[in-house]
Amino acid sequence: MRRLLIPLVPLASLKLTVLLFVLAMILIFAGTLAQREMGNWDVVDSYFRSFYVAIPLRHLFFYNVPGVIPFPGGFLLIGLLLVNLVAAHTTRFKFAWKRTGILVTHLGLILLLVGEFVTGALAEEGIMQVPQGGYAIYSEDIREAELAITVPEGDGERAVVVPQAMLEAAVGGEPIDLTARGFPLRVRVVAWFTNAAIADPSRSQRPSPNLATTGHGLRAVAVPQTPVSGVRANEVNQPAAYVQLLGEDGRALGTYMTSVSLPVIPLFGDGKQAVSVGDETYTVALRFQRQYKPYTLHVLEVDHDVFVGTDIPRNFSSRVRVVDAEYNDDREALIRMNEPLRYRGDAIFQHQMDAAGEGFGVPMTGLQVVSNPGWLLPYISCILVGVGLTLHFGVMLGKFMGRRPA
Amino acid sequence: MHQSADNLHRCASTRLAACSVVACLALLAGCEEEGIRTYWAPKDPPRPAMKLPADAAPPADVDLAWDVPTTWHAAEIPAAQRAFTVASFHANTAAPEEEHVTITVTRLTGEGGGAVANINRWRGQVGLPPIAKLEEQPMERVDTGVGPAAILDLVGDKGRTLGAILPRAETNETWFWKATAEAARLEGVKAELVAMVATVKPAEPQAAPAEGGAP
Repeated sequence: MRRLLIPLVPLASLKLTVLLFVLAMILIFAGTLAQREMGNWDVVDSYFRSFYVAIPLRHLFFYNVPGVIPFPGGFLLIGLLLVNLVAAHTTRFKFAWKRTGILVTHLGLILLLVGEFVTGALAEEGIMQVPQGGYAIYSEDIREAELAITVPEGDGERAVVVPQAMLEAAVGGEPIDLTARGFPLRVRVVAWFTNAAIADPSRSQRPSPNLATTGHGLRAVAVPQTPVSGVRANEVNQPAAYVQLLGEDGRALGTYMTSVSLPVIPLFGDGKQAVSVGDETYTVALRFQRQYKPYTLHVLEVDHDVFVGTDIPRNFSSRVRVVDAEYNDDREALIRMNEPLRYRGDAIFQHQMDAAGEGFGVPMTGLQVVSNPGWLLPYISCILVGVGLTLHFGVMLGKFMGRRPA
Repeated sequence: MHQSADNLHRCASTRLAACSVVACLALLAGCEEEGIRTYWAPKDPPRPAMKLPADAAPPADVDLAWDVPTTWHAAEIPAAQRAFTVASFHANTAAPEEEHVTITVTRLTGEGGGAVANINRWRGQVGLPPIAKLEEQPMERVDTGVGPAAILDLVGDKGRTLGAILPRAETNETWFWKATAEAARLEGVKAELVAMVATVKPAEPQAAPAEGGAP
């Protein structure tokens, strides 16, 4: 049996543990510096939720040094730490009651590492911006866009959505075929902008070619902007694209300029643009990625309390009503700062507030919706680590007390 | 007894290692890129139009001027509209604030996407069917200081829109004046809007401030 464990011995090395911790510290340092140029979530994805990262030297030095350093990403380091910890237990540790504390502590650490994998792979985050008296049926992930083509069906609409990653990959390439999805359309991505402003073509200070042949693009042009970096925390990238729609037979139906910013500009209504194919009229729109919810969240009242005599916020809160036809549930709840509503696996936090209606003319609340199947794991792991350390301390204290001379 | 506990521990550790590897593989499989999705969804909830921080100052290169009715108040131009909106006013100001009517003045290059397309967009907003030709849309003509403007009064199931369209060949622009509200609230506004559009004329160039002038 012991011979079977011999290959695990190098993986169980304490030197490997130290090396991995040092690499993790360097990665965190590099990831922090990278936020000067990159958005927070881009850094999280490319540095920490990846197996490999090419760290540009200009992120580490304050001069424009060319070149990159290949480096293990966060997932690889966490994975190796996990293997290292499990291998150490498998090869070296022996069960004994006095070591129970160490075992429980390490179990807590393993759970913490697994928890990050679960969060990275399965967690979803989104924002619901709802006016007082209004309701929401989906949250929007403002880190990712999607191209949605919809057609009315029943009392709603049938939609096909193409994610941002696919749109970016398709720029200048083969059209994305939607015919197998029941939509007689192909989408050729002519241009993609991670962040763009919408401007009058003749008055834009940065002239940008207008590639649109129909729709809103005849009246406005997408002007590329520098993508938002982590140091501009209050700003959000406003993706835009020029997409050419083709019929089933390959006939060009027009090139549309579309952007997540269009619905913000009243000139463009809800930002959707009509495309007629045969007897059907489809709409095309670039929007932030939606996560539809199995419940409807009505916002009854929003409150913004300040400390008396000052403008300093004391509390934001939203009184909401959750209606869930599937569970036959209809309840009211109060969402306050640090007091989220937990419902159907979602944690709904109070995120933003415009009780005075300065942004939309009506009081608005911004709710952050986090759906993370592994949300309990960090709590459980912290409890395990706490219990483990207490046990270990207790055992060591008992041992010490036993050794004391009478 | 000690030997069996040791074996038990090793078996448990091996199982733990195997479970960890399986869990990691399962999670990595979950990291796959998302693809195209198709689904049915309810209609989008209504969303209020954004009113971003204001910049009441009109663009510097506005070359038209008009007489604003005395009961109208200048309104703020939201940041998101600054690229297109030249001016914004509130009419019906004797009524409570929620019954004010907002008139926006927009300037677009060329035909602004086409007269028929714009009229159809306005018709759609008030619940009227689209037109195929410009001639199908009843319009009144108003002469201005820079050429004729067309006045539209669209009344549909969803509301009423008053609009004026002024094409300017000399600057390759089209100017739009537009007010949308419930039909009754626009009753008195129409005459004021028509009268205002009739006063449109080239703006007088502003005198440059004297160099080193008084503060």
